[in-house]
Amino acid sequence: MSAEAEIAKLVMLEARLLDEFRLDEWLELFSADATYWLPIDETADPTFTSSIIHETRDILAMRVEQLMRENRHAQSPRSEIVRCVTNLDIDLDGADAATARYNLIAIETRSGDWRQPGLGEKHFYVGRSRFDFRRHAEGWRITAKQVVLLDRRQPIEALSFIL
Amino acid sequence: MDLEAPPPTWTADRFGPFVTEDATEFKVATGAYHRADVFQAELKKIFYSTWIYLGHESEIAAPGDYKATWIGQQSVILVRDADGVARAFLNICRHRGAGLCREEQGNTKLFVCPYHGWSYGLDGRLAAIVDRSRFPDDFPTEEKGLIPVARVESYGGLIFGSLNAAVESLDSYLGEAKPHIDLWLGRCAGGRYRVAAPHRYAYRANWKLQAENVYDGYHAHFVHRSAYNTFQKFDNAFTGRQYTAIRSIGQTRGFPKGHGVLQAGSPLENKFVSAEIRQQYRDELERLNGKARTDEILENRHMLIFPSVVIMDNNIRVIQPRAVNHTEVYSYPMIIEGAHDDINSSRLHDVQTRVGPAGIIGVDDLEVFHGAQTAMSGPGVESITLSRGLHLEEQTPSGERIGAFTDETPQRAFWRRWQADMGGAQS
Ligand code: FES
Ligand SMILES: [Fe+2]
Repeated sequence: MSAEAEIAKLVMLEARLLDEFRLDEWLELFSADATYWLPIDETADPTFTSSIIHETRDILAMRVEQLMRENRHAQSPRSEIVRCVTNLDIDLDGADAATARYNLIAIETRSGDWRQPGLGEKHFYVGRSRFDFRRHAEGWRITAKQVVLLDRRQPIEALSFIL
Repeated sequence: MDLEAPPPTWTADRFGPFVTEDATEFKVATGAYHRADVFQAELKKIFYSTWIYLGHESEIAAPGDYKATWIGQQSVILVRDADGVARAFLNICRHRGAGLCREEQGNTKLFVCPYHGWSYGLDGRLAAIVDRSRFPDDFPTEEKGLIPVARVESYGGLIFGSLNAAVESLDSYLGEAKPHIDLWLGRCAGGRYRVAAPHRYAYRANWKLQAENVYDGYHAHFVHRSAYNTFQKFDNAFTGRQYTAIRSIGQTRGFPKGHGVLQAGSPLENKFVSAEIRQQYRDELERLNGKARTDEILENRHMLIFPSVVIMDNNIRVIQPRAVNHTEVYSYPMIIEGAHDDINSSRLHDVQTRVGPAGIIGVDDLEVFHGAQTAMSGPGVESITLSRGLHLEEQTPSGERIGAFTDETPQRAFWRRWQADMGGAQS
């Protein structure tokens, strides 16, 4: 498989693992030094500027733990989510680095008694995504994931899963 | 039976007064959370009658800096004028009512109306009318300035406004909350706070559910146990605290003005600042304040200034009612100018990851609010109870009440004030 095809497959796999709530496997796609960023201002330094999420892999591991094994209230019952990945554009940087850009449309619906507010609403998350990849001995790993949401400056309702 | 029919008066509808209290119980009628007529009355009797937080001085640091914000459902512009005075105006053009300011923040010399181009100075005066000649010569231009928010006053960099010209002074309004604000200001170690951009989140339930929640020491280990169990598994990375189901140290306070405080009896810490940097910061605080006061300054403390602004260790939260069952919250991380970068980065990331729009902790509260709003809006449940610690809390001569960390003391202070404001005039 060409490097480009490998990256394209990884992008799709990342979305599918999240859709299927296989979060432990999802976390394995990330390098130990990876960052995950949902900016409010994508031009600013997230160290001192508010983001929706700006986390290292250590904190992502906590999110995964809370969702997978600690029965988080805001995900009990769980959401069902479909992620559509479109406009995929891959740039290779030498043999061992790559960037993938795509548009993301994620639609969330809750399960449970959907007549109740909070369980009944659908949420749409639309954004421009970017992954940075690096080739490790075990294969490609994500070193950075960024999703610039269309509604990043507007109030967000209960983002309790990993986008 | 028409449950939505407006009551004949605020204090004598079919539920009786909304807040009732005796030696055995403190009750709030569920209608206070879900009735549209109650919400309209709250706007008038609370949001348009008392002091509402508008912003922090650092948001309008330079002349011409402005921010758009809200008092209840009225859009308001907060601006620093050319002389450095903080002013606030209703965000409406005096010609035919167009909205003037359409950005959340910025810097300008004039506010120019998008409709017919009337322009206003930073002091609110009408600066120019396009083609003035077609208006009568003695058209009262000087009366057509922006409508000021009747009172604008600040304390410790916190700017409040009131639409009620006769409201008591902000100083007297803050009352017993002031020493707690002073402690929070003390964290700056001689420096100043600067706000970061707000985290913004919303939920589909009443604004008072968030207000009651911010100093609720009873709920944390239940709603948030998934987060706390996770923290423990990860070497207590957040908050540096051992959790027990019922915390035995710390206090709650409720003040006659309606404000309330939750104090944990220990600092809120995390593992993202090294022991050395933490000690340097502490040393500086001790040099300025002595040891005992430094302990007080660093104590984990949440304070709600009635009705809708919350001062927490690392952030200011503004609760914005949009409708009886729709609330927005803007949470502004507070950067300390001059503090070590790691301290500021940690303050920001702490509030972001714990209680931001995708917070590991905060989002679980919103889920509870949704459930409560749903359930309370239906028939058959007339009241909820806020009675924890009612018979045990201590009362000082000034009327301040002090309870245990897990008592509902601050919530009762909120509701007593709420009932007094709502019952003050019958419509
Ligand atoms: S409404 Fe503003 S200039 Fe006409
Ligand atoms: Fe909470």
